[in-house]
Amino acid sequence: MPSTSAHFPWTLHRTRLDNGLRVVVCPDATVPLAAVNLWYDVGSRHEVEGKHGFAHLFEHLMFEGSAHVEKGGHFAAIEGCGGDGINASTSPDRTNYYQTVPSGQLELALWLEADRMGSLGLTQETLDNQREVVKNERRQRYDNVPYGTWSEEMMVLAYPEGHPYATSTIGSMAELDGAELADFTAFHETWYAPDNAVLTVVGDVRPEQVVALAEKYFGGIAPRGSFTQPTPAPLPPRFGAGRHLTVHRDVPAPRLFLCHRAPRFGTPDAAAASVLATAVGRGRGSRLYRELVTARNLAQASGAFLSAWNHLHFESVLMGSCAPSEGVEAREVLDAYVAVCDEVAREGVTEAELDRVRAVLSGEWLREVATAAGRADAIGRFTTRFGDAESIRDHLDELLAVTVEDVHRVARDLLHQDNRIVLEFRPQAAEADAEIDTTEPEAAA
Amino acid sequence: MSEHIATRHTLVAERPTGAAPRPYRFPEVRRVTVGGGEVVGAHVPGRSLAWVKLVMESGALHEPVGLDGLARITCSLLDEGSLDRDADAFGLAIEALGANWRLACGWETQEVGLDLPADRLDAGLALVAEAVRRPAFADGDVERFLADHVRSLKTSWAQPGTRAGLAFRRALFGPDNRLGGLLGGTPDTALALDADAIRGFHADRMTAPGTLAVVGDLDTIDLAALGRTVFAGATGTATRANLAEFAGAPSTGRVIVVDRPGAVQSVLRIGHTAPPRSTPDLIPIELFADVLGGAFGSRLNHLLREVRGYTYGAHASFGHGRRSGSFTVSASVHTEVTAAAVVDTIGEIRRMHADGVTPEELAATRAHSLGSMPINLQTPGGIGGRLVEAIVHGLPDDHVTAEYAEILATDPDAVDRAAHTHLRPDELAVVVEGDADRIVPDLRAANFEVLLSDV
Repeated sequence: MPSTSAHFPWTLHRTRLDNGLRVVVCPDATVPLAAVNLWYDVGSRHEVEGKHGFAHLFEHLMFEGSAHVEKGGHFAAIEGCGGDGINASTSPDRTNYYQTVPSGQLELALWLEADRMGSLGLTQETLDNQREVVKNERRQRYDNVPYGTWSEEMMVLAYPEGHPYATSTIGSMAELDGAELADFTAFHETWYAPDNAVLTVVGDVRPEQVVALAEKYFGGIAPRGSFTQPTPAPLPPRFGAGRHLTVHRDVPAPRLFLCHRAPRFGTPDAAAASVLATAVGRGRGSRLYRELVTARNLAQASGAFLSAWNHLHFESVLMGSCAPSEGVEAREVLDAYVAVCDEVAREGVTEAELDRVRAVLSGEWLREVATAAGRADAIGRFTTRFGDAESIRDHLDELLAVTVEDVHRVARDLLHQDNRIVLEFRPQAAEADAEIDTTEPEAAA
Repeated sequence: MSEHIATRHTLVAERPTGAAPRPYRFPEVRRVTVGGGEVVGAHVPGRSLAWVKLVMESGALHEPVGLDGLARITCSLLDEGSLDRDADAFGLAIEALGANWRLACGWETQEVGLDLPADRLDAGLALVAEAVRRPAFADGDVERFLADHVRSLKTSWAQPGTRAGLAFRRALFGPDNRLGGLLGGTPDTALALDADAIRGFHADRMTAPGTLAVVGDLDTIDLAALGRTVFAGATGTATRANLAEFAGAPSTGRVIVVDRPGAVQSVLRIGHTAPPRSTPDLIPIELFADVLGGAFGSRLNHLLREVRGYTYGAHASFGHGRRSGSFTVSASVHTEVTAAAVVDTIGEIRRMHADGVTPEELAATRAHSLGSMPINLQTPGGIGGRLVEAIVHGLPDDHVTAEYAEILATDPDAVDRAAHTHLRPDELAVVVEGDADRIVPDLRAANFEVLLSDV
């Protein structure tokens, strides 16, 4: 039975079509809109060696036309009907496609999404074009930006070679150059199926109307039946040895990135890990901010010294970063950062700190579900991860229920010195013409 | 269409026709004059979030000469400690409400406030009042914050596009006009800022009552009480900043190159000055700008991204200030195609200037503009942005509703005339931040005069 809760007061209607497509409708007559969101359970974690970046490049190709839609026609149709907020994104875990339209245009949005789920209008010309676009996306986000490659470099350190999370979603230039048409027709055939997707509609719509339209447009798409999932060996809860890697790059100042292995989203300790990260490293009142910025002026101000990445499928990470203040050595700020983590691992956090975290997370949740599009995407995430949209109602309650004992327990593991990888970026010396990588042992604690 | 595409699935071929969107109406606006200031509220019942901001006449144009960035840093320091509590305690008080501190610094005005769970509005507003009326600006906090500010400006200076932005503004407004600099200043200008200048700027510019903008359920919010809280202790009257004549004289034949050795992409900033928001052509300008570089399917994005593959995205937009404006095309293109991308961009601006938009383009952009209004105004913050716009530019309470009607009524001739009047394809400032060694020869070969910027 559908229920309601104070933190998610909206009704949810859940249906599964005969072909396996899960349809979730969240009526909200306060907006004259329909947010239409599709979560496909495919991401860069499904990519194979030599073909990294293909899930994301494929996402681009989904806008390049399908059986009844011309290249660029998806954007044109949605914008032309008064829609907005159109985009898609690819993560290690999933690929989502979304748009918000006037509620009277719901049917058009469903037709467009169904057409590209069931067919792909791919040509060598569109592949070549979008390959260049993605290479420019890589330049703009990674290669031409100071520190731009840090997360890509960190993933290689944080996961064993061949692990589904060991590579970036963007892929390398060489792999993108090697992409062929057949790769993408196969990708579509393998992963873009109704039984691998969640369709969520939020807004001024009637559930029976949405289900009837979903049946009309998606009902003729055959299910795939099964989806081969990567099965990496489970990783130990901690890295097992601390590491500190220093790289020299074209950056204006030193900066530290710190990675800790953490539980995957939805597992018993994941909520406590999120609360821990917020207590220690997120926001003006966090331990790290108060110690590194206000009290000691060692680090540049940052709203996120430590945060939980909440990967859905395999072991996740708590990721940190920090930039030394002017005139402060990276070593000094790292020591102070680690000292804060050690103290929390040793003594935990206070009830007052937990109250702050609860207020912060409650406010964030209200903002996340405040728009039809935000709510639709969150519903897609919970349905994909837990198999049931209703699980969204418990999300904030689980975070609010975390106790100081829970935080202390996970802190002892996660913030342990043998569960920390430090990646240090240093400016290239003027005379250096090559990257010099050095490893050094983590300072003895 | 691609009807030949083979699929083993049964798809519906016929594109559905939808119903026209319902006309948009902006929420009811209520105004209260109290305590020497004015409160302007938008009535949005039934939301879990509320939003509030104080609008002050304290933008960057009010800065003393040589102190670029003073306005922004003063505004940014407001939540770094008050006479009632220190910086940490103030930050904790904001977070305890589940609030997000929000500030916006412009050329003419600044805004400071927060969005937060609706039932905490009174407590949040009291913190806004505390920050604005009783800031501490303690020496230690200011010193720490300034050092941090300089470091973050250096980081931003190293990002592609920051120096191009400065060179672009200089070309538009002249190096001697404050508009010809960056809003937040540069690493160099930040060195001239100190605690005395900050305290002085607050005393001169931020003690007048200002105007309070509120979005929430006005049937349960006492606007007058909010006004009394935030205007208490205010003194003086806000005056508008002086603004000197702009002195820029850009020419399309000259490319200003900002050197970024080794860059794998070039950042383009191409444009010119534009009329202020008060122009009667505002809506026609917005419509042709959307066709040129606003929508995903815009001419610039289509050509540079979807046809050429030069870029991840190309955009064009007009910024409409109270007394100045600008037209800017932005794109990051890969180094090898820099000159070709500049030529293509100028070509699209010329084409729009000469021929205007097609009926199909106008119909699509009109639908997009109308439809996106309720989409972008779902949250109290979205509605608050339009409320602030009314305050800053002195617009009537129903300006958004009126804008909706005007977009519906705008005819193609008006859009074409606006494109012809407000695009000046021979007077474009063309700025490219990229690897000079690699891009200058191509730019010269394309018959551009190249000027190396000292930015």
